[in-house]
Amino acid sequence: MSAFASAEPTTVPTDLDLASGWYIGMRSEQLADRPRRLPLFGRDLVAWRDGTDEPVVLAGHCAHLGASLALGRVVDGCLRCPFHHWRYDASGACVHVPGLPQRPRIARVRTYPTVERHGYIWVWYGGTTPLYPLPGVPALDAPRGRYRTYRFSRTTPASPRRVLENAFDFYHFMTLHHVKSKAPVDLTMLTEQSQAAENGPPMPADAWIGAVLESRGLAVPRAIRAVGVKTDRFSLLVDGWPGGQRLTFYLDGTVMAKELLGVTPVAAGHTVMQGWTLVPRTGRLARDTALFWMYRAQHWLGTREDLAIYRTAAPDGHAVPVRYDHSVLRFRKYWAGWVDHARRAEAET
Amino acid sequence: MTTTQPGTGTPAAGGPDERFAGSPAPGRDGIEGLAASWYVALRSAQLKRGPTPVTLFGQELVAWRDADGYPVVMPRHCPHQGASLALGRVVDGCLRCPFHGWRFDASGRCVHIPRAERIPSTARQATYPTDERYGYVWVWYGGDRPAFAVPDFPPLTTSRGRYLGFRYSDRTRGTARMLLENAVDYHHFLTLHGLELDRVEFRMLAEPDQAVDNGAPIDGDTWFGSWFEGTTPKLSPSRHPWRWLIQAATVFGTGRHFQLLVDGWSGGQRFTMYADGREIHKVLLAITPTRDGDITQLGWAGVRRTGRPWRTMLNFALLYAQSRAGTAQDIPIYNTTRAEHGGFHVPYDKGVLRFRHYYQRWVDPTEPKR
Repeated sequence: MSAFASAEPTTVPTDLDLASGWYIGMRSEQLADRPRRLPLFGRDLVAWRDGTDEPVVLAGHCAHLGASLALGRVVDGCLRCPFHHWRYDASGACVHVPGLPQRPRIARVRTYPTVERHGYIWVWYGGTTPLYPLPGVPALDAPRGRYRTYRFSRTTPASPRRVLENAFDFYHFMTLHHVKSKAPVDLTMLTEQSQAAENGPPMPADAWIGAVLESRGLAVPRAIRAVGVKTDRFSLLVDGWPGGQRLTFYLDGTVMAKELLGVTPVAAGHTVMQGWTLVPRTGRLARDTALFWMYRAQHWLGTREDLAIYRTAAPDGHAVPVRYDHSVLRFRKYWAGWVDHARRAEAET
Repeated sequence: MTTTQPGTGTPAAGGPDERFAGSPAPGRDGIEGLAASWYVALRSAQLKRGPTPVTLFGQELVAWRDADGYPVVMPRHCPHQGASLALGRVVDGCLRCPFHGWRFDASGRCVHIPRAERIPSTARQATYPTDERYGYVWVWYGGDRPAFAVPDFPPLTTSRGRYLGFRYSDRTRGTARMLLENAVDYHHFLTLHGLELDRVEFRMLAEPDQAVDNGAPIDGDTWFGSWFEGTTPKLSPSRHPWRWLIQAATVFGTGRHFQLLVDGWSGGQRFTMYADGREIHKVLLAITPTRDGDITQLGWAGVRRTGRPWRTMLNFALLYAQSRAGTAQDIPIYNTTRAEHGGFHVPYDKGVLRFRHYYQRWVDPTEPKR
């Protein structure tokens, strides 16, 4: 970043160009017995738990006079509007209206598909039917003790696309994040999902994008060498769907850390990037602790550098691409395809 | 902001009748969907002789009193260099700008510019028609001539001694229409407010004379009225102590029949509540539309004195508690409702829909009916 760059946030795009996919709506523990307002996708939604404790996400206002359902209560497994006590089931259908002999058959509010996994409530954007189940991170289901974990959550005005394309912008690791390497860092787009098996199970081919970033001449900081890492071979395996990413970091072919990165598109100019980091335990307490905190510190510092760029960058769209941008352009093309899908699917709902 | 049009104004206010005659129409573009009507600018007691800044209809205004004590409301900034007239003083019945001493009379006309030979005809402020009643300064929104007078409310004028009341004021992020249609949305009394009533009956009134208990009839075009009643169920105090208590409070421990007479104009309402046909209390509801998403509902509520002081005090305490509790339930709804996301109506919404139709006639920028 130039010393002359303005620290003022630039204007944000007013339209959310969102791709169809699974996004993080909120953390699981934020949703208990009472419904909760959920600003997401630039819309006013409401989240609540039905009779079986499953999370439900509905359009946030009653079909009757438009009162906020987030002020309501869950009664008999249905969400009850505070104003005239209309009740909605998990499908968004109005199932009960006090004072009427029978329920109005066509009154409903829109429902958004949800799934609860890895401590988050994920919400599908782009039509009423998800095209595939949420691709998870199996390492997060592994027995406790295999990994040391921590959660992260940062808010940025950047669009979800900018947050997600960052991993495919390999050149910025050397410039912005000052990764020193004797041999050039290189990025290869993956063609087969089997190449990303370490990250997790496959997903539909057109929803998937992956890459591997490698360096054979990494200048490993002295602090890391001190705990017994004697290699200069570094690689980063990233794959994901529109809305989330899974990452695995290797040193000399050994997994150093894994990450689940989810995106919460709250509104235009308001995105939350959040998820989990997992650092494997080897049983050697001092080494594990040192690596865990070193990883966490570089993650924090690296994110800080990214956020400063996000805060001040021009809204998406201005680009003079050069040769090393091929992977970013690939990502943008892939993303644009799913934005088109979302536009069509949302128009039909 | 409003524009001033030279030469179309009326002479300086002289008598009570001419107070209605404001000069060039201040804009009506302040708040989306706000009906032409009388609104409360501020409490009478808040307006001393000196100018006071007020914000209404999304516009920065200044209120002051002329030589006769009549309230004047005009744009806050001097047409000369934009200084705030709220920093000025009233001199010889005119508002004097603090900056260069320009003076404006009650009609908004600049009547004196120190060291100027001639006063430019463009040097004038648009004024809003005003009135002062019931302890409030009222402002007419929607043109330079009010379509009707501020409606009558006897408990604060002729029958003042017969009531024991209090004033209330609550800010909301709702719309004026939402606050007013609430009274004809009778079903929400049963659900949101939890009134337990059987044999509920609601009807729109046809003639202003039917609401004469609320005060002198309001002019027919302006008027809107409804009647709501229901019977509290027979409950045993020993078996349902809490429900029994609530319903005793609903009818103020007087009989079993709850009745509510509502009527009003495009910017406010009058209520009379009866139990078994006996008047219990009256309410005046007015509105201060500060700006979009910042609307205050305010007014007065009071119980009719019973002749037994302890009983009057009990009713007063019950009314106060009911009023505050009801407001605490309504305000969050007002703050978060998005009427444009609703629209699925059922038979019991006929009152709300009729009200919206009536209200829209006062929103549309055609000249309001006189």
